[in-house]
Amino acid sequence: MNEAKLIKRVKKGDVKAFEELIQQYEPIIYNTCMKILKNEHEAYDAAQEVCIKVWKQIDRFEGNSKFSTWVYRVTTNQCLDILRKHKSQKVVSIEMGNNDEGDWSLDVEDTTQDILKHIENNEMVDALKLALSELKEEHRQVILLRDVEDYSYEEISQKLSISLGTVKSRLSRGRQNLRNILLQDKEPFNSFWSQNSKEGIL
Amino acid sequence: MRCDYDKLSLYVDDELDEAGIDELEEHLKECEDCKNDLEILMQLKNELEQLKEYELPEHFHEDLMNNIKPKKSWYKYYVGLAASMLIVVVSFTLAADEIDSVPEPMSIDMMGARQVQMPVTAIIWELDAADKGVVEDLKLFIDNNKLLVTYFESDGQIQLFSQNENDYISMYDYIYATDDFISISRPADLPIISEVVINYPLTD
Ligand SMILES: [Zn+2]
Repeated sequence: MNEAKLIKRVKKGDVKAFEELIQQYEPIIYNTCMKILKNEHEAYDAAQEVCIKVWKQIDRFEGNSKFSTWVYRVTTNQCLDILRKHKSQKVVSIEMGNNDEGDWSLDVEDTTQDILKHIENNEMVDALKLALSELKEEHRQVILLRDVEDYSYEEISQKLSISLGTVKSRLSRGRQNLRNILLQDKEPFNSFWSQNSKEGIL
Repeated sequence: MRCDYDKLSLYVDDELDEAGIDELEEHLKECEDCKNDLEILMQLKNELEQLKEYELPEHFHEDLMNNIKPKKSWYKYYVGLAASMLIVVVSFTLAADEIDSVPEPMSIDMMGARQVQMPVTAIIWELDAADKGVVEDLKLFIDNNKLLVTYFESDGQIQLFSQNENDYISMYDYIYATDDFISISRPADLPIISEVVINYPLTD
């Protein structure tokens, strides 16, 4: 059944139709929650709550936007509410030791808006993926393991059967190369920096 | 120390020892180049993190469907709730210093004394509104839709109640759909309200 028909049925209270509809969105909702909340337990609860809201509030979806966009809004609102409720949560994990000048400590609101921009920006993701594909395999590998999959240096060294020193040097070299690829003054790489205020940095 | 990209790379991974961190941070204070490199490194790391795909936990869908109740039975329940009185207490904070003095919800015995012949347990759904405007909007909604909802206002608090199930549901839906209300008690309990025991007087 197509999505529009499903939505109509869900609006009438058809649980089966809801089940069919929501199953396509569960992974996306959960992933978005994980990326914003960075906590499995919280993301789980938030994603559940979002799905329940989709069920209860589907009458609010009037079809002016894509359904996926509407679901995305419900999801980010839910997550931002949670972040606002515990403002003390650190979203940025890396801070300068001395932040008297406030250079490195970001306000939660700024940070979450930042995260949203990044998640929403497909061009940025595409540029990043292309840049990664231009890296040497040995560099791409360690970067993906470290920065995407969040493996420790130790784990990477074991997984790839290379020394810790090699992990460190490949990561450093790989990141430098990735940066240089992305800093080329051409599309699509310019898209990568459009959200990141290249001018402010260079 | 001299500029050292390897150290910056270790730094963003939190893989430098304390002495290394101190040394690098000293250097960063006076080296714009490294500061820029570090900022780009941190950005790259943040962006790369966004590429991660998280697997949906195993029982996610099952858990969800266990919490989805058919809407019909909810409405049916309300029809069965003839002439019962439900109260919604919306309190909004006018000023930050009043946060501690949110009034207690009025008990139903006080308000409906004439009609109530036996002890009544009311469902009180308590919410915080973002500001007074939100409450004004709600009142406007009630007036515009000619809902049979009565409301009393006191300082920083509005109490609304309806003896009409459909109007109550309309109000419920409106509040539930508006992001500017924050529930203190859980609105999620309402659709499974049949699990709450309510004693109510039968009137003719
Ligand atoms: Zn330097």
